[in-house]
Amino acid sequence: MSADTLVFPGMLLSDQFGESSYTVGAIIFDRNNVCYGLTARHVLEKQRSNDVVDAFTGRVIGQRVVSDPQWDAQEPFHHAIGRFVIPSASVKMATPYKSVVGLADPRELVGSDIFWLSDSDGNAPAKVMAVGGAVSINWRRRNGSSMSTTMSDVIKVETLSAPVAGPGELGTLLVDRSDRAVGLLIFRHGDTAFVAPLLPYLDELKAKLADDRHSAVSGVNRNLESMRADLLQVDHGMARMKRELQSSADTPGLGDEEAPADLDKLLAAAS
Amino acid sequence: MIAKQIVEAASVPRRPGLYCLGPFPRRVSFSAQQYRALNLVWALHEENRLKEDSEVAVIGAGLAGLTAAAAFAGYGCKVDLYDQTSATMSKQRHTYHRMVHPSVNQWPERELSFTTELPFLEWYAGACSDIVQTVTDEFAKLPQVTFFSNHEATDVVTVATDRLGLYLEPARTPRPSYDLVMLTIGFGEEGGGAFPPIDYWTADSLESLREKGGIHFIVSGCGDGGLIDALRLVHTNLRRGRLIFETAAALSGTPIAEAIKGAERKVEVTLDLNTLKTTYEQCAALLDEDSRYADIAKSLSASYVQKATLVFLLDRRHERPYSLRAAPIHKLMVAHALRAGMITYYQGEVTDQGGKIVAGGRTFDPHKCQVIVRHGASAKFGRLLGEDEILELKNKQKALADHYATKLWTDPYPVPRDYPAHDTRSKKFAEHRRKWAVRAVRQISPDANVALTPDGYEVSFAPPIPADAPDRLFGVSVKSIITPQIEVS
Repeated sequence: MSADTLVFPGMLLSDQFGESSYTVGAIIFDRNNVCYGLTARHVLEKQRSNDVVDAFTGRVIGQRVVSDPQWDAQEPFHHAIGRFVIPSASVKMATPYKSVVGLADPRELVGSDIFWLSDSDGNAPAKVMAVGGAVSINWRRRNGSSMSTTMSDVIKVETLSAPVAGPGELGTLLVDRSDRAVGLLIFRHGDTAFVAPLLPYLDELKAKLADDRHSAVSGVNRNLESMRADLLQVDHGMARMKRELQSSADTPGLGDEEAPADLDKLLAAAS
Repeated sequence: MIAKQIVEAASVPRRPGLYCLGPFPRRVSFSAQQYRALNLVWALHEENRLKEDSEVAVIGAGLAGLTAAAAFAGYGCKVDLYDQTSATMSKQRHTYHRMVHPSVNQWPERELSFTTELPFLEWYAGACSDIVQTVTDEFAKLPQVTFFSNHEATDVVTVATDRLGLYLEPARTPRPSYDLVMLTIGFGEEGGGAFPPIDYWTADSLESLREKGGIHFIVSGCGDGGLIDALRLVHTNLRRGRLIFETAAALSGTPIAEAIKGAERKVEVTLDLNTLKTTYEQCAALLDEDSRYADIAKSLSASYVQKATLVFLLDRRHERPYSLRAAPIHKLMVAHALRAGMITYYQGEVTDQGGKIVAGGRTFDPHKCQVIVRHGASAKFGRLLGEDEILELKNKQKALADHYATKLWTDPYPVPRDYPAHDTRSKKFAEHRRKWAVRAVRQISPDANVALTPDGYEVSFAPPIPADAPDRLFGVSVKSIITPQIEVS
């Protein structure tokens, strides 16, 4: 992983086997200034490895945040957004993402038009039909078994001028008329699409959208990068052990995800 | 005119500024008490007994007290709420074993509504403890109301023209005084007579006792408390009361519902309880014999206990267990249980005669018999009201109290600060109530969700959509859908 790897919203990503592709919808910094890329969680979850790679160059640009045990439970699942740590990268607010200003409250958007931003679709409009709804995702796990997970608090939109669904479009950012970020596309079928709202997710994570002030994560030096990689490995191991020990764990919230929380503490202490 | 009557009925004789909501009505339910509280505060305002900056004390932090305090706050008053216990709604905070419903007690006269449609402190059909949590959480956010726990009001005295001083234990210094004091107390403890009392709201283990077997049950009293507990004992699938709600919903709009409505209205005037007896017995027979009701009869019959449990229901005042006091749906379900031989009814009393329990001419071994007395709570005002005042209030309120358990105020009801106005077409209102709407539908199906749409709510259920899915929540229209399924390859 090189320190000058470029990561930007709208970038097409993949797993290292090229089995799935998806889009970086947003780049955020948490309260400890750790940088994450956000996308549709179920796509990120089903890839076989933790590495997140640039779909065009094959370079590893991040590490998937280890899912909490809830993902495997038959419980309503509240976060349809997945994230990956970008340990060391130059983050660029590429056009048209430069124009995104702040976050929209989805509750204010019922009945209004929002727009998704991607190179292929341009500013295609969609109408918000419902906020706070649920969608049940049926998918096949890495071990081959199938499961169903209900994601609540999603936004249902009707695509007014439906562009052809492109490969890897899941994760794409949608914005409102005032260029405020609304959420990430998690599913589209015909004229209906579902969007996971960003505002509650970032509120809970106490994170902020990256902007031009964060255009380079240059403060992270190579030593820290190396330490972070080591810690990530250790932490993944700890997470596995914890899951094994807590096979009947309660459903934790986002803040209970193992890897980043512990990682952040360790990094904060290290720096 | 009605405002004047309401104020007059609530005024404590010869003590200007002191009002009593009272425990005297026949059909006391959560929603009825809230309507009475809202109507009384509205009427006080209509009759110019309230000013925008009036200082008000509300004594008693049950649901009526909370609602009255919130209503006073809506009119811009500064409110102190007192309760002798440590928390608001302390009596029902741990009532996990009973469900309450906003309108099932008034069915079929009133259409069933899964949620209340009040200007604030709304709730839904569900477990009592859950509803208490919802209401008290919301109440705690009202900045205009100060709650004083563990303070017993012992006296109210006139300290100046139009000013009442409040004596408290423990005392507050200086002694507080108010423009207006409202008593929302009066429900004393439920007595058990010669038998250990089992409080209606305190979690009990009647179902476990029944499952253990070898015990007979004697339920004394044909009000709602007695009928509900008799139903708890004979139904294995009552689900804390949910079966009652489902039965009422399934019967809505049917000839049975119409027959009951007609009979209840008639008996209100004639007071001829034989009409009720005939109607409920015929309706219970119809449930079993008419194929239109086959599903309902099946669900009731399938729920009856299989064990040889004897449930006796008694009331000394009634030849049959159909009084005007009890809710029609409870009477109908008891009529069905009587017809099925699950309950035996006697007119009479249960007594303890030297170690033997005697009921309906039969003698029971006290070790193999559980007596549940449901004669209602006695009116109790501590040192605040004298016997003559209570009697006078009772006589004044008796005729009116039932009447004003429905909405009489003129919309819009003023709401406390930070509350959206009660406008069911407003997006702000619908969004504000959505968190409660989610709790409400999860009483029906634990994985249901409520989305906000331009037309109201869209409720998604795991398939199939339940038969009793609501068509409105808090007055907001509802469209029910199956949760969209996404197949990810």
